[in-house]
Amino acid sequence: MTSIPLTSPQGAPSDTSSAADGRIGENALRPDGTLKVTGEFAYASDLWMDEMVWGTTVRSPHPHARIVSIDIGPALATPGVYAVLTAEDVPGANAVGLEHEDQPVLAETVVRYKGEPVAIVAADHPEIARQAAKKVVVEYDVLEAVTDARAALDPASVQLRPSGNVVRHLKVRKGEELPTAAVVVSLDFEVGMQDQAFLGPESGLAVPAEDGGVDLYVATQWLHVDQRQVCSALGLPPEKVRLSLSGVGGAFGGREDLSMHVHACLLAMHTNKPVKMVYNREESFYGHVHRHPATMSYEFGAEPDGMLVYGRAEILFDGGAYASSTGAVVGNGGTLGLGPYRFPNVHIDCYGVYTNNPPCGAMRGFGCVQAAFAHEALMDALAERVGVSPAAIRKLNGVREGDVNITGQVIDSAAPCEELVQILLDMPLPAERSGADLLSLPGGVANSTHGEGVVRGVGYALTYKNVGFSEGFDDYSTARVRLQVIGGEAVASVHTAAAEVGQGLITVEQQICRTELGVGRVVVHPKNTQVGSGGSTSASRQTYVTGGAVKAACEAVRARVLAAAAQVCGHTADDLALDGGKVVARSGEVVLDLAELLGDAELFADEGVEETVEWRHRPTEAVDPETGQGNAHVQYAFSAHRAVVDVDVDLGLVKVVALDTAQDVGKAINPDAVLGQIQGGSTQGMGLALMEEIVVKDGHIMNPSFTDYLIPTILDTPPMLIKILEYADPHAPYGVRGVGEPPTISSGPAVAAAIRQATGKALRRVPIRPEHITGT
Amino acid sequence: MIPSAFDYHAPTSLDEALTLLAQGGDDAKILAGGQSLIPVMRLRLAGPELLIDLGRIDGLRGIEDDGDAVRIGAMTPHHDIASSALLGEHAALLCAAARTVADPQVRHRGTFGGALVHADPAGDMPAPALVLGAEFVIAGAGGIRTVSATDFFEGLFTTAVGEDEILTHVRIPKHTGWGARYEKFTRVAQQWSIVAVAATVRAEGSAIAEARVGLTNMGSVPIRAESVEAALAGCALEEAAIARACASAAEGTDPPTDTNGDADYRRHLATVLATRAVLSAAGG
Amino acid sequence: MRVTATVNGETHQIDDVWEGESLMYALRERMGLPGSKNACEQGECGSCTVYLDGVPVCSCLVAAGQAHERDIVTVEGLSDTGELHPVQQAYLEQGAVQCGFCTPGLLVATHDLLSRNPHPSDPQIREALAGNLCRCTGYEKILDAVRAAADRMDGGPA
Repeated sequence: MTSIPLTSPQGAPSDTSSAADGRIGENALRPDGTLKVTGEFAYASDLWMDEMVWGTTVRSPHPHARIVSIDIGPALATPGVYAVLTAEDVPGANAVGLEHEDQPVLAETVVRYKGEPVAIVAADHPEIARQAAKKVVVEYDVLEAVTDARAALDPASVQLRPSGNVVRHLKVRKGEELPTAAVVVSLDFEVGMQDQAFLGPESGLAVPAEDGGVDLYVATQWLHVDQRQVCSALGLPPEKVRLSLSGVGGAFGGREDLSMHVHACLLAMHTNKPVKMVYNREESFYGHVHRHPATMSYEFGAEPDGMLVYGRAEILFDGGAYASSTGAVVGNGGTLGLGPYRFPNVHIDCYGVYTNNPPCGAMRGFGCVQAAFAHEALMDALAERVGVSPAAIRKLNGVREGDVNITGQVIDSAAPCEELVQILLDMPLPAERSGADLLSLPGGVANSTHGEGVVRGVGYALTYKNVGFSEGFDDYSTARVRLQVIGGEAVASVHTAAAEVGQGLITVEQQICRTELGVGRVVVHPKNTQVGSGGSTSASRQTYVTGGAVKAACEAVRARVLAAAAQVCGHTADDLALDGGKVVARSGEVVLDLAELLGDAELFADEGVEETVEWRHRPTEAVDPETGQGNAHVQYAFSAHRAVVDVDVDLGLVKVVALDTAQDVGKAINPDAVLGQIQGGSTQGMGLALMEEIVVKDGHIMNPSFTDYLIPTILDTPPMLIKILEYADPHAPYGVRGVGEPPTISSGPAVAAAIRQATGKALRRVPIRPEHITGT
Repeated sequence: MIPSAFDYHAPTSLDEALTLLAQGGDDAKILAGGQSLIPVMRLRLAGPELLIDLGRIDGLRGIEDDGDAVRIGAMTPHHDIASSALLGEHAALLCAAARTVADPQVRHRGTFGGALVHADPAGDMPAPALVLGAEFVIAGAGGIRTVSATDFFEGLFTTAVGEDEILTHVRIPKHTGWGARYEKFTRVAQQWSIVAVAATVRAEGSAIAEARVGLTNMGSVPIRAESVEAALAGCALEEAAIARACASAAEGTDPPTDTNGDADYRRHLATVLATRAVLSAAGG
Repeated sequence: MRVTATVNGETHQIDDVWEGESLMYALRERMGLPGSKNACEQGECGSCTVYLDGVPVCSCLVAAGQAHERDIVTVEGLSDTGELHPVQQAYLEQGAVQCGFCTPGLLVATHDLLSRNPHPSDPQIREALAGNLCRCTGYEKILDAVRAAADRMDGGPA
């Protein structure tokens, strides 16, 4: 049994439902949409409780230092302060982490990055908490910091961990060891550190419970992995650490790791008061992991006609101070890092290392986004060398269904590379510049261009990404579906712990229930740990995996309902279906009213049917440690982009004029939501190509604000033509293919290619800065 | 109740404000629109003990014809400047620059006077005010004094307005019939200027009679590109000639190097933008 | 200090306001109106946009004291009929809402745009909404929503 807090916070999650129709394949509206447009939807930072106090975090000013002493006395003496806690106050294991438990909740003896939490403070006003935090006196002995990933790889450099600086080294070997080719192209490429820049800051409210446990309301991507870590740090069993998903203001990977979770719980348990923590934007830049920066060296060999013979790559990811999901990023970079092309011979070394830079981890398209810039630039170089178009080189070499990929896995569903590229070729190009409309020129409204120095370029990119968790991970989701009568109507309710972060999973859950159970109204239960894990909202996996779980739970419920109906009506269960709130025969004949059937106390003792199902996609395998060979992935999702840019070469200013794309989504459960994912994902990829970079100097973030970390505004974002293909994956529920990440992978390389085409410059680093274009 | 880090006052007269300011001394700070001060305070980069909000004083907001000049109240928001027909006729450069300040929300709150006294090197109002020869009307305990544009901007975030003084109005000499262009370079829309060039030009026939060219964010203060102005006097209204005249735009400047660009790139931008601004201002 | 203001047509009086508090904090934490969002608190993202005396401003860049005796309308006050305002309805129906954190600010900015310019062109929409960052949608469906709201408010097809 679990206890419910005596008072729920204002803004605590509640059931969400909408009576609107919408089965799979239709544009059902979001059930939380009305609350979101009226301002009533409660995000984690909106939670409020009587007697609530505010938590704040004391962070390391140094990238690498030994903690000599911490004096909390002056802070604790501040009027209004309820608690000041340090590592000594962590009752359980002071070590958390997604893949490796290598990160302290609060630093003990050493700080390993600037911004690492050292102490936490609770006070009755956020400003008092901040003032008190400044009075925590920490004496540091500054240590040499490792801030260059290449240097970290050198065994002679400072070793940050007993196991060394390498988090993971993945080797992929296929075919001949030293193949030769008539045409050889190579390049080095560098990708800067991108930030998820979700708008809703890290926030949550921890409420101490009477059973000695804690209830945590938080914005996250994966409640159960949070719960596991919070339990470990607090030394409490899972039944005493109950998590509920609060409103999430975007995530994009940045909420897969813990932020304020344990801190708020510690403060709540020490003060016996509800504790709210909300990061400000600057703190948010230090408070979550970022996209790994990468340095890459690539070489492709090909026949004179451009047919690929071999691919070699060395990829180095800077993981920063803690491992987070570096292992998975290395896994993707290694197994997918040559792009969706046919390579008879492969030699890849992919590394992720520890440094004293900000920790890096999950971000939309992890591992593939970085590699795509390199392999797509090299495909363009190859096309140029052999004298074919960028589109032709991709069509020639793109993988097809039935091919064996570079890790020896058969691609056993659609791989429409050639078609995706052809679709882009067939799309109309945007009109030539019209001198009359300054808004269409680089710079937009505050424009610096009247058409002077403007050249147009077009670029293509073709990429793919694995969907779901790979390499043998036990990837599953749990769904509890209940069908019952409410107010005389048959109503389904669905309960999963799968995080809704804005992508529209709750809409999909409703659509599946409507489709499978033939009802109109579907209640979405608040997401919490009172049901089994839904797995992470990442790796484009929720519609596939949680969708699969909801479908399976619905099928189990339906089987029971139809079996009962068969007893009553004389049809066999196989001849029956649920539709429009009725039990209908295959002939179309309405046999029974579903609400009446469910209300039959003899058949359904509790006036309803409930089933809970734990659902798994087909298993994947760990790859061979020496060759990288194995069936590592469950599914591949393909996308292609064409970018059209106008570049003011005198200023180095780029205006993306069009960002057109084609993507195979298997089955569009909600076509409008699919478009939304593609538009938003494409924009983030464009952002990395053009402007988005956390600038890190000697371990310090130089631009932790939206003033200096640039993200595209509505003026910087172009119109997009989008073509969706629906080649069902026979292994996936409804044939779905993950949607969220692919557009972020292919859009950036297309933009970079367009700028190269316009300027004739090599441009081997993203984001592409204006001075890279002007050469000044 | 928080132990106040500072007091807040919203006087309703200029005299009252000056008295408060005199009492507050070094620890007092004037709050105009707050669009720069409040973010800075939130980052704890400024921590005044006394905040004097000018928002409730009558007579500090508005744009009026003042004979040979246009008189602008210090508390006039950027939005009003951008949309003023009077300024459009007599000081079009100010309107052009005000339209590029941040975004609509900030233009509604941010004030002309606040931007000038804050004197952010990347701010968009100082350079136009400088090249238009603005006269700054400053009130203090000893009465009113007027400071010329050349003497107003003293250094990084520093102006001639003393700690016990308040900028009340700015007189902008009329530049009726002068073409104007504010060329602002940013990497994304609505950001601070990486570099900008303010140009206003009086053309006669096929030549430039007079030109004023100012640079934003090419040093700690807004800069008049005097050598460019001299070269432009009498210059033919031709792109090549104007480009030659503007080639020295970055001479003698000391632009910053930061995450938005290094000094050399800024010098390059200044030259390109100056040519474009002048061409456009001249109607080319 | 005490601050009194008209918010969404109702008089609110709040006491013991710390002088450093923003209007955004006062609305969210003292007046029970958390609709205006706290994404950057530096005036860059527009998520906290409210009307102050009839013009849209970033409430994070208004000191609470500056709002004393002023008139404020937040996202919670865009509709006083109990029905969604056409702008809200259009954002909902056009799929312009994903995580929704930017939505309240965008709704106020769109409401303001359409009250001044009932039929904005695409460039005018982009210009008016450039102060509002959205990280989820790529803005395409926001443009769709503004166009749909304009049509709807005009009685035309929506």
